[in-house]
Amino acid sequence: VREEALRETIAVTGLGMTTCLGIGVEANWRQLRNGQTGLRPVSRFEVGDSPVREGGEAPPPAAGPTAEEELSFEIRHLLGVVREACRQAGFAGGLPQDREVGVVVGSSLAGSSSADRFFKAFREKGPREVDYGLLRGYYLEEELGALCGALGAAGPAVLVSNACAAGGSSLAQGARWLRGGRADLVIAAGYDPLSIFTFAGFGSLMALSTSKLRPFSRNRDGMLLGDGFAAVVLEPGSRARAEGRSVLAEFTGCGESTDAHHLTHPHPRGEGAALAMRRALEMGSLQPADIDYVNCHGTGTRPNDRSESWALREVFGDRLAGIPVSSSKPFFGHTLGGAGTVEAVVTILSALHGFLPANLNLDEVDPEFADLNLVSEGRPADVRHAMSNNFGFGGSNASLIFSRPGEERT
Amino acid sequence: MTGFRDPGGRRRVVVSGLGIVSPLGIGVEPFWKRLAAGDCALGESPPSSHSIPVPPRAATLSELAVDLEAIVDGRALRRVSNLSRYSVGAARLALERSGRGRPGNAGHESLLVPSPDDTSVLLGTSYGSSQYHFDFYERLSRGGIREASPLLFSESVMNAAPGHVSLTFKLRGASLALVGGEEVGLNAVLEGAQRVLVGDAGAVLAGGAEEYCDFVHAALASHNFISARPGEPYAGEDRPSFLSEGAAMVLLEDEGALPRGARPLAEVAGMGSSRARDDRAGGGPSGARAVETAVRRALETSGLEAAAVDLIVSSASGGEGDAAEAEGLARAFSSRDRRAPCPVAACKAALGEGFAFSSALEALVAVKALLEQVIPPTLGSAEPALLPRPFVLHRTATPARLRNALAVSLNRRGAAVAVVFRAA
Repeated sequence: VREEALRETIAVTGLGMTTCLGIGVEANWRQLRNGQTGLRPVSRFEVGDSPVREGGEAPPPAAGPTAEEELSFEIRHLLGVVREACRQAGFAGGLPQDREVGVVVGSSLAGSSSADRFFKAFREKGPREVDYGLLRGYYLEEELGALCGALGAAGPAVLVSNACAAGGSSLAQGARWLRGGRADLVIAAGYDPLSIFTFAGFGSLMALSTSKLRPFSRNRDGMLLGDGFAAVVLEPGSRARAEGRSVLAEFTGCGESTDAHHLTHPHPRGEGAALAMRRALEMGSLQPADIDYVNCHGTGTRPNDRSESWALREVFGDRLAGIPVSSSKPFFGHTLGGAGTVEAVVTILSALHGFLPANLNLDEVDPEFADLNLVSEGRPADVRHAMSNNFGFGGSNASLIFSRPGEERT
Repeated sequence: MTGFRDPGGRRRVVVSGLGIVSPLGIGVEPFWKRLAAGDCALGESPPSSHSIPVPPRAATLSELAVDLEAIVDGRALRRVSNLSRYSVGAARLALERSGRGRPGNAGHESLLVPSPDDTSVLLGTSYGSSQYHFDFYERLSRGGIREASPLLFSESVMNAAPGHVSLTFKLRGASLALVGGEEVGLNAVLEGAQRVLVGDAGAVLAGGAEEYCDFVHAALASHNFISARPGEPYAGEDRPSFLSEGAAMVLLEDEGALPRGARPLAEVAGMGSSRARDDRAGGGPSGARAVETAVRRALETSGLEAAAVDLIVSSASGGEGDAAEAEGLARAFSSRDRRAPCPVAACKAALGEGFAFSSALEALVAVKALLEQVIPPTLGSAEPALLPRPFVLHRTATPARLRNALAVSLNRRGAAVAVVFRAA
């Protein structure tokens, strides 16, 4: 039994996703296929005289049970994508009570919306009159507890936070619980909302674009932010098949690493990112030649795209020119802690549907990236194994590999 | 489904280092000396720079600033949050305690770790770098987007502290914050041990940290999560302890990877976790079930009977969760002879409620108690109303034969974690 746990394939049996492209996987995939961005002028808060005008704002969450009406915007959306993933996995009526269900959520700045509300009141009423109870949501266990309570999940639960790699680390954590026998069904989710906190913060770091989000373009000038919520149901492949659930993909490998170089700047040669990619390949017993597509972190900032390109060269060597690569962020913006999960869903859908969404706004490829096989227009492709990369503050890196069910490895 | 298993059946996870930065002392020995002496860390709350009406008393590190400077490189970390400084300090002490030699000057600390590429950092926290976070917000709300500070922003992300630990010691394994309630420091120890077990890391620096923040202090007081006095664990008065800050970390390694001749401090023998199915259940019957389940799993995975546990280090603070924790322990230990006393130690009367720091500290205290063969004292009532036989509290440090110690933590939303440590 013990050795089998390590050899067991991990099946993806449910997906959920909400971004500015829409609510639900289908709505998002339609826009991704059609090459339509969801980034628009920001209306959620005043951007003042900031030269940055655009962001990705998801539609309001769908109506849920009355008891959930008081939950925050982001937790209602998070519950929405989790329920969508559970429905697809065949658990529309609720999670099975006879299984140990783990819940892991990745988020970079969860809880910041409660601070948004609090500081509005703080400014109006002052430090002596303001209601400090408004900060309750800042105790993040409230939000995780609300999610687990709504799902009736009693297994391991944790919120992982390693900045923009959190959504990827969430999936890696879920896989670890399955491999270690601590859960036999896992909901791995990632989210972060577009907020004035992140908008002002990344703006102060001069990391935001004043025009379009253009990863790998010559004239790229930074990223744009967006709402991102996604969830993936993971379970042992043998059990999913035995119980007749459709396996959308196999979660073949994951690698985590840290640059140990700088808190906010990526390693200039992508050493930590390459380490994560190699670890993912190693865990999946895969060779670079097995990978048919890489969904890049591709933030559109000069340091990130350069660092990632070096990491890709280091890992894939001569094979790199033959591997299509793209960033999905021009569709929905950088969703921060949600990015790893949101883009994992895009990667899985790419393999499932045999279609690679475009790297939008690639008007002129930066000559520095001339050796990358960038997907300038959406196109069909035969994808057996696909990699999804995410990197973040703290030098955090997470690399994931998803495979079409039953694909061979060389 | 059990608490965890080693899929390969080949690895033993051991604790090879301990590090603590606490209001009772910086370093395991000074901390332990004061804890064993029955000292309480309660002091004056720092003045609020925002005129926030905080409770008058808390336990902070403000009087130990010079001692902290001695172990944290002042130049490299002069602008980082207190959370990061505490975490780097605790990590440094844990690495030193692992017997790998004293760290050199800044930039040479990587020499301490045999395999920096394979060493991860898991830091539990409930509030992160909250002072910087709120200072950033306060400036933003006062002056608008143009007042946003890049320093405060980058230092206020939840994983800034583990990021600084990885950066300082050049560790290239995973580095992340685990965010949760009071239990999350102990949960980081559990998750760290599992990373070693399944082969995802050769070593893990795991623990928890919190920093004092006037906004958080006022918010916690408004919810009655903390008070301004020492709580009395299991007294049944529903009055939690005071707010505390600090960092506690353990170095976890695969025993097979220890240097030749190195002796581990303790073995991580078993672990378990559970969570109440219903919402807002920390103080109620569901919280008790979560504790019972987590403890049963920890015992099962360690191969121990309840009778073999010689000490329980608990998360009781005098607040609303004590009854659930006591009931959960009673159920999990129902097979134990009620005439055979089972010592329980609750440190929150002495150190206050430090959330993730507190539960990581419970792991550290369990290991140190095994090393010293001493039951640490619990301040407050010697005849606690909520704690049934066979459990007993000791008012003073008591020598005892200790082979196995259980650390357990329950948060206010009904999530419980339990870890069994076995004497090396």
